[in-house]
Amino acid sequence: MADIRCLICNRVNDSSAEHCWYCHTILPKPTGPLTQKERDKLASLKNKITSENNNVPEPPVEEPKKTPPAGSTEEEVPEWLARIRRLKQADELDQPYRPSDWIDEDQPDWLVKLQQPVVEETPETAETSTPAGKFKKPALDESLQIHNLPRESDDSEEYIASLLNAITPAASVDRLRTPGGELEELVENGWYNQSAQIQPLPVGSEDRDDLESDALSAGVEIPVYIEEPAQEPEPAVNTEPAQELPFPLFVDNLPDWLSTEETTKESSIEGKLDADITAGEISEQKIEKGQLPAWLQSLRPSAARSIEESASESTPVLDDRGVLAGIAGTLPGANLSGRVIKPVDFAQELRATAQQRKNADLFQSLLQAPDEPVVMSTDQKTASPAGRFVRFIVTILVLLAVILPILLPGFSVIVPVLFPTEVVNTLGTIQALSADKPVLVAAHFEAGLAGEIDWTAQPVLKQLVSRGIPLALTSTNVQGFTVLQDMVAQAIGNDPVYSMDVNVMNLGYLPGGSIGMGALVNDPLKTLPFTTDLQPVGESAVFGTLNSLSDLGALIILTDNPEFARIWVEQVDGGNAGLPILAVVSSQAAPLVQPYFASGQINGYISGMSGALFYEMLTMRAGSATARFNSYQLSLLLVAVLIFAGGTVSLILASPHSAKKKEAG
Amino acid sequence: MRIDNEVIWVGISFLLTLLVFAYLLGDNPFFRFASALLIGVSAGYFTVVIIYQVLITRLVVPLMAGSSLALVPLLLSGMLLMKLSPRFSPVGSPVMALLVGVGAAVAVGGTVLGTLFGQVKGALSFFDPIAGASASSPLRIVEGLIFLVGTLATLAYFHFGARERRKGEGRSRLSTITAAVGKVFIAITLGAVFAGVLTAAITALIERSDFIISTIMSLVR
Amino acid sequence: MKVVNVAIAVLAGLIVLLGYFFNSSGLHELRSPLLDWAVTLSGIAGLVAILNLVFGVHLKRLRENHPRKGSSVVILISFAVTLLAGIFLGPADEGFQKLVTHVQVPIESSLMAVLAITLVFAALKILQRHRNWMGFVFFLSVILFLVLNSGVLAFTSEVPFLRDILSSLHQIPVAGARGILLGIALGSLATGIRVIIGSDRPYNG
Repeated sequence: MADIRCLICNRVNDSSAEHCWYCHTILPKPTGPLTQKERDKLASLKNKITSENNNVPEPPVEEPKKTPPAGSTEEEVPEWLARIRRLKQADELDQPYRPSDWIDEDQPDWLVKLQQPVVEETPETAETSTPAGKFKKPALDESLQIHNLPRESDDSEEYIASLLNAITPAASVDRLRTPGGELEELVENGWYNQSAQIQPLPVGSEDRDDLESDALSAGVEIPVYIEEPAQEPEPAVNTEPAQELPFPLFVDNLPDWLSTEETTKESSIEGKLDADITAGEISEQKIEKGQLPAWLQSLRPSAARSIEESASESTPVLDDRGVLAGIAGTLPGANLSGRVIKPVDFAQELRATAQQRKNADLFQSLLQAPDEPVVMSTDQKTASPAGRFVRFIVTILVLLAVILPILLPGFSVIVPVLFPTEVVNTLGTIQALSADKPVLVAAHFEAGLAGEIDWTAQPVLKQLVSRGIPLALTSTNVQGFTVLQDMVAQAIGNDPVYSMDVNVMNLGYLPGGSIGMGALVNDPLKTLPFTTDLQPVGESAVFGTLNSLSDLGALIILTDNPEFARIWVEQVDGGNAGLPILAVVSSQAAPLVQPYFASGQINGYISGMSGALFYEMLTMRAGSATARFNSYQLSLLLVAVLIFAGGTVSLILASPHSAKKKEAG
Repeated sequence: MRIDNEVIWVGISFLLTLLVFAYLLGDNPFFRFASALLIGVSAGYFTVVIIYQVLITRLVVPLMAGSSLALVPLLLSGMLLMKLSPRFSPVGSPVMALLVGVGAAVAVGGTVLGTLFGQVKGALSFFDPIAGASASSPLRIVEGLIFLVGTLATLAYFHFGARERRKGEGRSRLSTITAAVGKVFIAITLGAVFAGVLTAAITALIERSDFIISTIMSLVR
Repeated sequence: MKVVNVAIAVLAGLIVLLGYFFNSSGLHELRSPLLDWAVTLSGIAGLVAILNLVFGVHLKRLRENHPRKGSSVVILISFAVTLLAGIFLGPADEGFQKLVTHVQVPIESSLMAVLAITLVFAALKILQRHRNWMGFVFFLSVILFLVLNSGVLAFTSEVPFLRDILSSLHQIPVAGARGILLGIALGSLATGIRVIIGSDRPYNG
């Protein structure tokens, strides 16, 4: 069979598909040639019509078993419908009911009643018929033409008046009394009674609507299911007239069983209508099934739809998904499972590469405000017993190596005889200094290494003092100039010639680090205009003539930090001051000061107690370095041995760190 | 008996030395007291020196001498003090900019003229023909070569390359070998520095021990 | 405002830097006050740091009832006493200088002395933590220079070959130190240039 094209989205679907694959609307049923069954039913319908025209009773046809509507059970059948069925059964027992065609199986009852024969309307009843009686039920499933509507003409006022007069509650109660004696209290809605009393109009009714006649004469096709033989007798139940019209305004849109028309008249009128419809104008050739567009077909009520679907004996539409699952007669919901576009799963977490996370952590650590210093746990009890024992042994050994030579003056040492070049040059430079020119002594050392600097600088200071060279003291750290002054005071000692007040000028603290050194090189008097006791430097006899650094004899740097030695050398040597530079440095600064000596930027330097020892030996002035060199040598040798032993043990034994790493790996 | 002030101060020094040496037995309140005292005294001393050596000598005295130019550092100092307040901290930013700019210029000038020129000259001095003529032995040239190779290898280890390298693309073989040689020289230098640190610390221990023993000896006598 | 800061830094830096290479009297006139003001401001900056330490940290601990406020009490009391003594006596006073020579120096020297034992104990584990050829070279270098510094090998002065070797061993760190100094210099140069041209702005915010 040919593929079906969807009327909504115009996409091609398989011929066997019921719903469009794209928009899931109901596809129009492919219209193909009629099946044999359909032909038989059409033929029976035709016979019925012709027999009705000829008033020839047709042989009874087996009443097809009425199949209950889709989804309905005996439990779900409303009472009014049940009553109708009972009445019908009763009628059938009296008068066999001849269903006109195969469509009756699934027809609603109101439509079935339309098909039953109606009592001929009497002239009186016809005259007294209310305007509502002229109401012809609109034929369902017609092509948008409603033929049975009353004309809005002369009868409108009478129609409305009759409707209003007909409404009486008492009569409605009486009417509700069924043939079986059961009283059904249908309170407000007397129209419930009408469902049992609706009769199709007899054939040839004079009250046939002009509109309807025009439609029939024009050859408008009327659906088959409403064609009924007019000669079918009306049931006896329908004798009681219905006077009440509870909902006159809604008569137009209600099926017969819901309408409030007088039963006899209405039924007669309707029977006439149906008879008019079925007889005469409807020809066999014009009987066609209505071709509705698919979208309209999908909007049809389930009752109307079920009529067509029963032809194909298809299972009724049963919504199997969504909120209305299992409920019959609902519009099928669109299958959105294929249409729903699943949104992109945006994870809550931030997607970043490892490098981005690393950079973010680094940035965060830079921005993070410095926390308060955390006091590190110094509890030695956390160390292992072996570690604590080793620490104890090391402490004892080192202290013994330090203290024993002090306590034992006869402790001999190996006195070095190779004098380093830097020490010799220092001596030579100082010896070459002029006694007229002052020497600037610039200090920058922490109080922690003040002892070592003191022992290292003493021989140099003593030589300067012995030569009577004026000294200008300054420091680039706050404590330096104070400790330096104390050193100089120790170096002077009891010298009768050299005095602190005359030959030494303490210029105090030089702030700014490298900036201060640069400013000092640029203009010494302006940078350090006052001494520590707020005396102007310019007024001094010795230092008042100081205009630049070149007016100085030398620069001696006392530092434990190689950085400040470097800065001093850069500023003074780079500034082309032409000034001899000497350095007295701590042992830890010596390796990084050595290149400046090797390059000739500083004339000489003395480092640590060994350098001081050499200088004292050269100047033949024994000092603290000479006195405590035994302790110095022994402790250094002991430390060297301990480090060698520790390294050897580490090489032999497995390291705990590597073992932990192996375990973790 | 009049106690000499020096004895009192020596006694204070002795006591404080013992308080700090108590750390060898473990962390204790005495050690913490000595540390806190150090911080307080250092901060106080620093403040006094700044007041006298900077504020008075460099701000007050020039103003009193009638120098109008001294108003500029006074104003700048006031702006810099705003840095203490988080609200007015931006007021001190121009002063910090001045300090940073001058400091950077001093560092650059000293580096170029002091270290760069001087050290390069020193590295090549071994090969100076004039100086070489007065050299006592050819070992000096060999020594100079070793120093030059060591210097260049150390610089190669601290590579200052700015070009971005593609993934998987490493250094060239020559560069890798040179960097490895530089690593050796750096290890030797850092070993010498660490030995110097140990030496300085041992010297401080000797000096303090000597002080304690001499004090005890003087007290005993 | 940030543009003004950058302009100040760049201008001041250029004037001072040019003074290193050009000996001009006009440049000298501009350069001298800048250096002088910078020296003064450096001292004030140090004062700001100290005041922040005292009032921003330790006084705050007292107000907030910090668990470690005991040490803050000692710090504040010692600070106050030192400050008052210094203001009344002056930094040149011998008695005031005793605070440095007999309080600061003994405490800091003692701390360094205690550190010596800790350093020795740490030195025992050199190869335990760094078991590679770099660590081994470092280990040997430490031992060698400890022995050299002790002066034990000075007896080799009688043997010329050994004397030369000893002298050469003493000079070996120069190569590495020179490379390190050049590296530091190049880094300082790059950083300084970046500040002078306004590329780095550590003063903004």
